[in-house]
Amino acid sequence: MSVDLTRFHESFFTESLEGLDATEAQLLALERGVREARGGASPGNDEQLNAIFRGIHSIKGAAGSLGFKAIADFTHHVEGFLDRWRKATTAVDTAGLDTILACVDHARALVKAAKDGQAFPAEKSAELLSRLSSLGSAAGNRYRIHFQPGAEFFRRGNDPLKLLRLLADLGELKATVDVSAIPVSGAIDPEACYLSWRLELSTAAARAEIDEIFAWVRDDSRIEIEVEAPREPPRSERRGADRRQGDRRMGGRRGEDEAGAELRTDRLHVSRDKIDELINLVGELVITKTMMKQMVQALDPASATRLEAGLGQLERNTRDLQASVMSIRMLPMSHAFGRFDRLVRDSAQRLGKQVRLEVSGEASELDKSVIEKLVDPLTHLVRNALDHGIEPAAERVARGKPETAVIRLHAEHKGGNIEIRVSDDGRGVDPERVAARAREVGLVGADEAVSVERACELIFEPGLSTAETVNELSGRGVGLDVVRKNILALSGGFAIDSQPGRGMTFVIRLPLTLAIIDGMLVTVGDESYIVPLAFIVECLQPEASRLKSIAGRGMLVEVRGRYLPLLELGRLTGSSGARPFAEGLLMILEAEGNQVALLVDALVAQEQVVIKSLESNYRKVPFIAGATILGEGRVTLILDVASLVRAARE
Amino acid sequence: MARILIVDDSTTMRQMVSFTLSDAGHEVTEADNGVKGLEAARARRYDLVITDVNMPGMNGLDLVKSLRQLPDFKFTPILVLTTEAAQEVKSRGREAGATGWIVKPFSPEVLLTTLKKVLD
Repeated sequence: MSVDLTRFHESFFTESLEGLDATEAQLLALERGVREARGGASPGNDEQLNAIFRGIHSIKGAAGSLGFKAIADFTHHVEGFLDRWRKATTAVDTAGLDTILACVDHARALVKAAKDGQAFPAEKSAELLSRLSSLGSAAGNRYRIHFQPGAEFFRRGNDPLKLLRLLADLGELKATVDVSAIPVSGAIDPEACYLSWRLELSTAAARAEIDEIFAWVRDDSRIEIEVEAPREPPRSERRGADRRQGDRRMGGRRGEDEAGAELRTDRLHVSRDKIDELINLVGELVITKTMMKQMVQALDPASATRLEAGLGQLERNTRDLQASVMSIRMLPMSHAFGRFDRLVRDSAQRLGKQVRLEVSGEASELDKSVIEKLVDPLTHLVRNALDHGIEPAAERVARGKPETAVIRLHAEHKGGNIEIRVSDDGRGVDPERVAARAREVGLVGADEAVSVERACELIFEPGLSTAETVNELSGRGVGLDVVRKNILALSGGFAIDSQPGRGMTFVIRLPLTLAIIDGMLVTVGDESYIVPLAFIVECLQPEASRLKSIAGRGMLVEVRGRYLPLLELGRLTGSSGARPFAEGLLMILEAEGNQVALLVDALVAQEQVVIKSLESNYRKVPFIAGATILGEGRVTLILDVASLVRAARE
Repeated sequence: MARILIVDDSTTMRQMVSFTLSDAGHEVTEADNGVKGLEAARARRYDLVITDVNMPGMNGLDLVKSLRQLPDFKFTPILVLTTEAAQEVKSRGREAGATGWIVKPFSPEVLLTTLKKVLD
């Protein structure tokens, strides 16, 4: 009886791609560790080597069982090379890391080819494998060993000199004895060992052979063994100092990465449809609960009391259930941030710039669908920073900046939103360069002055790119405008802060989930609308005296000394019977750092609403973000505040 | 050349070690249990003691402890014979005062290589 293996394919593809992502992250962490070791610290990278090995090993196993021979064969050879790293018969060096990273990329391509049913790129496999085998033949490792015998060393019949002699048999040994621990007073215990040694051993021997020599005394002596990458050219002091500083900051992060990689293996694969259905059902439950609450309010108070208590309980349970179901879709931001290590490393190498990536707040969680939609915009911003923002090292030095530039990715929760910052310490937006380019393409008049703020707005215009040369990273003139559009489509906000010569920061603010929002139910005429709570700053009673009319710019309302554009919801939606200005209510709304005053008739209630897409059920409607079903079963539209604010400013 | 005491209740093991070490030019004394091993040690000095752990009468670990009490054996290398399955013997042996261990089964080559850690 033959078993249909194809049903396992989907999970194999998902798992392999995830596994390769995790392996890549481990490789990059290992690379930092190797660099750090040259700065004098201990790499302690056994765990990483094992994790990397395991990552490739499981893909090999699964690919073999499922009959993906090309994947199994390729990963088998990669695994063989990794095993030499693990056993320290081959030193972990830059050349090896580069090749293994390329192999991870290729494995990814192989898995994708299998997924799409395309032919496997066999030539590329062969090329990478020959690169691997040429790497392996380079013999000779340098080990730095610190050996401090324990107090009982002699009393158990061990002899340090014999162990050193065995080490010397393996290759070239340089030993430095440390006598500083010998007591100066007469209180010497003649049976104790006060000596310790710093050893440098150049040998073709495997790490295991060295471990074997110390096997008996490992537990009660202090033995630290580091493998040095032999082929690296020495670096200048200054870069060393920069790097150490950076690596120290990375230190904590690497720990988290490892924890993250461990966590990733302890995961249940559930199809997204199931989760979405669950979320939909919880949404319905929220609606039913609201409906019952409204019905109870209409009942005779005496009989309603106990029912109300029960409903209160139901409400709390529903809220908890909703939070817990929503959290299933939540993923840490590290899923989006994780890939940038590699992007920055490779791009910086290609551009000949020195760039360090610093990531913080990557544990902040966000809806998986939002994370997925965020990856492209973030990629664009990071590339933008690499390409346009960061200066070549020489230019940085000339400006008195550190040679190594820093790109920072940061995420944090702020209320019901997540704020993501992409910043760099590069040249920032140069108003003159932007102005020159804007004049060229006719976005700005010939004599018009361009402030930093105006320049920051101009860079979002389609067709405006100030890169001198177009390259494969960015600079094709489509970019920031698309980024902003994508972020706004996620009902998010986008802000930019540039300090010419010192760098710039993009701030993205997004709702944590796109499925359920807190909204304010408002009425205008005989219609009602939902205004997402996240955009509401405050609500005011309007005063006719604060209303100003400006020719060509419509009406403005003075609020605490500032004039805000007035939008009348009744007029925008064409509702009949909207109240006049003085009898209505002003909602101050803020999006993308700009405020407007929205005139509505009245506030009804704060509601949690499940967003249903209007586009997929009907069609795109201007100023409307979606629809929802209220407790009493009525369909209500949700206002798209960001587009309202933008329209009001234009 | 060294004087070596091998203590093991298994004749096969004792003879195999004895033969290998004699062949390498060492002078070997055999004892088939811990008590006899201790007696032999009291009678004269040795450069190395190799002892099995599981033996009737006095077991190997007790022998190691007793040997360490003798002034002549305070710093003498003592190796315990253990198996892959009995990993804890390694640390228990070290605690009792053993210098190291040899994992059974072993080839003559491995035995001689291992002894380089304790003999000249």
